[in-house]
Amino acid sequence: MLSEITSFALCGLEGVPVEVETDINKGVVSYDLVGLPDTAVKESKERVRSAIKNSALYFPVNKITINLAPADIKKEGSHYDLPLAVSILKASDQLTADTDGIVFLGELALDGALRAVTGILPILISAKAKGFTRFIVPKGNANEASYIEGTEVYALESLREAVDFLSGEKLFKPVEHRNFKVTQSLRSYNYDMSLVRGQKVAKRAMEIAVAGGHNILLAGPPGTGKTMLARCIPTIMPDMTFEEALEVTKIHSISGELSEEGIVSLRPFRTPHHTATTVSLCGGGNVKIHAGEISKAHKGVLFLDELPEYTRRTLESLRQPLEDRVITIARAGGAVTFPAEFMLCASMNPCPCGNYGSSYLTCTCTPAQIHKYRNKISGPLLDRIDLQVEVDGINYEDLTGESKEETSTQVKERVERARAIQRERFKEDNVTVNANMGEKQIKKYCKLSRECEEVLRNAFETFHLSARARARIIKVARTIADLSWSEEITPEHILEAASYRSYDTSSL
Amino acid sequence: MYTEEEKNIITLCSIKEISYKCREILYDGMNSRAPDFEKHKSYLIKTLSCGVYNKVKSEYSDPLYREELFARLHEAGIVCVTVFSNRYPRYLANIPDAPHVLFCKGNKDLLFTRCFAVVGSRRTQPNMLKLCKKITRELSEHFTIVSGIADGADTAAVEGALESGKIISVLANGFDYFYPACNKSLIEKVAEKGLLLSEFPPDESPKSYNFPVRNRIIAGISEGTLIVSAGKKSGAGITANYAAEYDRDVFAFPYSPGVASGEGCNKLIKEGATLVETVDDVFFAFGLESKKNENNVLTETESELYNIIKEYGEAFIPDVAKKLGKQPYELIPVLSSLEIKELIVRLGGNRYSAIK
Repeated sequence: MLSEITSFALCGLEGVPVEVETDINKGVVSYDLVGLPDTAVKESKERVRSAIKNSALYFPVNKITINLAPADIKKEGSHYDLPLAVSILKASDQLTADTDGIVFLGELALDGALRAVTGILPILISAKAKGFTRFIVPKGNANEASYIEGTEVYALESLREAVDFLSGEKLFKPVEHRNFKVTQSLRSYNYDMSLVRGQKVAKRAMEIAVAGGHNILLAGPPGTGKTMLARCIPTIMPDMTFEEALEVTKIHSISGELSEEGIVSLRPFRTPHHTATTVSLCGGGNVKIHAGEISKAHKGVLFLDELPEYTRRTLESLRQPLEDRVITIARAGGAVTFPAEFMLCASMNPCPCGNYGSSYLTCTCTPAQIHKYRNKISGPLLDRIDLQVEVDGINYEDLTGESKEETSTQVKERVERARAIQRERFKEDNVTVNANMGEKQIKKYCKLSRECEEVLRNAFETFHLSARARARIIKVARTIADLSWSEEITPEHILEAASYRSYDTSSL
Repeated sequence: MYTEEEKNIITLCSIKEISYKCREILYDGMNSRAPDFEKHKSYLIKTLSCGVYNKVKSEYSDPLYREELFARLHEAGIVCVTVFSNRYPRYLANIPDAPHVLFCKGNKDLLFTRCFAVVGSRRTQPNMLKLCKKITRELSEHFTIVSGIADGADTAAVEGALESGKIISVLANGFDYFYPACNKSLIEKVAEKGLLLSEFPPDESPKSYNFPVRNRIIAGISEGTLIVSAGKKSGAGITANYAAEYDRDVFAFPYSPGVASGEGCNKLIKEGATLVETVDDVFFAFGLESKKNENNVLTETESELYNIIKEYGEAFIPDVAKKLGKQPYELIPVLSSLEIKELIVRLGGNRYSAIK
């Protein structure tokens, strides 16, 4: 007898329907699984056998052949257990109900319980787009699944429940659809701009960076709050829309990093340690292609602390995704594209001893040593970091004084206003923020008066800026103008923008 | 191109085994015009050993060796000026231990101009570097600047003078080597626009003991020496000592007490060096005048901020902002503008200092 059950495979973030075909015949007792299964799928045979037996069902003692079609896609992960079990039950006539159009996903425990699996959300989204609306998933994935509207998802606890449900012996309600709420998100950030004392210049630079989607480098002596500042960046970023949240959740779902909530509602803040490898940062892997840190930081912040400590190769690998905002990982088994639209925030010490620019400690480095240290970061990468700002060496007053600091909410309001101006401006273009402007858009939207050109030329001569820095300065100046509701870019804006490129210059 | 006696001494200089002292002896304390190997054989054998003596002598008299040497120098664009030449710099000829041969690369006409040395330590504060650059640029109106090519103050001096092309960099190694490596492009620029000088043959590698020796050329070729910065034990201090020994004027930037890179400068001033704040202090000592071209027009906010920074000496942006009752970021454009006009310099950590 033959049965067919639908499940899904994941290629990157794309779900592909997989037919689980089971044929039970008379013959020498055997149990074969074909159709390019990986180890986890092959091992599922034993789990399925035990789960069926322990669910008070009968595992057929015949020649069983199971095929996972299409046969040319590699099947990975443990979510094929449930479709396999159901397929065997159907082929052995223990289950006669109609299973057409139902997608089965779930891992089985030996006692027949259903365990949560990774990647439910991207599968659901793909399946919905392909016309599938009914799903049976493990209870543990219920939250994640509840955000997809127009689907009928049954979150069950065991194989027994699935059988009872399908045969109509028990009734289950589909998971209730939930709406995405962003309002609570801000409160749940652990950091706030008002907690950082002083650092007015750095805070201003961060505001500009977030408003225009620019990357930022914080340089300063150790222990002056660079990390703390960086952690505040997500708190002043505009709230994620539902679409954005879904995109982020998809990536976190396949990486198995979803929290109980089932959706990522806060902007991600990823801090890979400087020992990170290129693969862990960009994604990759031999059998299954994993998303890297840059994809997990999608729509959020990738914070690289102590930038010069990362290996050169790792840093260079960031250049292409920074430009394209996606990363395509090609392996022998095929190529996968992950989104990687992140804001890069990096921090570094100003010199090897860390005291350069400190008011109370003396720097013992020679200019050559400082040069060498800063040269660890290649020019092309530095060129992609629009704002380079120095963090103050804090003094005692800053820590104790009763100065009133702005809260993240206040800053965020200004950021959102500037973003609104940009949305209006780029209505017809395929960019969203100033930082993504190409040469064409710069020409169109950043007209410079003669006075501005003059200032820019002088700045170039004095600061020894590279030619590529020009476009970056203009873009930042555009954002500063947006923040001050100014239609025109004024010389002040250019001057301020130029001051944020101090690490580009050779003037030491 | 070279006379026979010039060829002799250049060849002798290219043989590394023969030290400066050996050459002095071979030439009878530079009184004779040709080396006399036979007369000083016993001394040379004693200092060099017999084998080396024979090798040196055969090399010296080998016409093939000579041919190769001069072909190599010619190919590298190196011109030699010897003590026997009338093109040897006048001031340098006056010092007791003048180098016998100067290997030159670049515009050697600069050897006949008035020279002024600007040297300093590798660890120099950023504002002093800026000041050094500014003053050398102004000095190059009347003088050719002489300096080394080390990191820090020397580099700033070279950069300041490079625009006018009036720059002589004296190296402590042969031209085949680029030391420090980070200044390779600067060395090439000096060779192109100014003049590179060395008393060592091209294949001499950088050696620590050659640097103080080199400093006597810097001091000796110049009418005066400005010490930009010098720690307690510093090469710049050695240059200043040479300058004083040769009876040349010594100038120094003043520093506030407690600045390590300025201790040497303050000591020199105490001992009688001329304190330098602006280029006029130097020009005055030589009876020269600078062309006044103060064309920096400041706006009201700019001059207000500039005066405050001058008052503070070293200003921290948030402090200045507080004093002016403004937000720090409101000052950033003004600071940038002042920086572009080269009136202030960024010290790192959002602190600025006025130049002059």
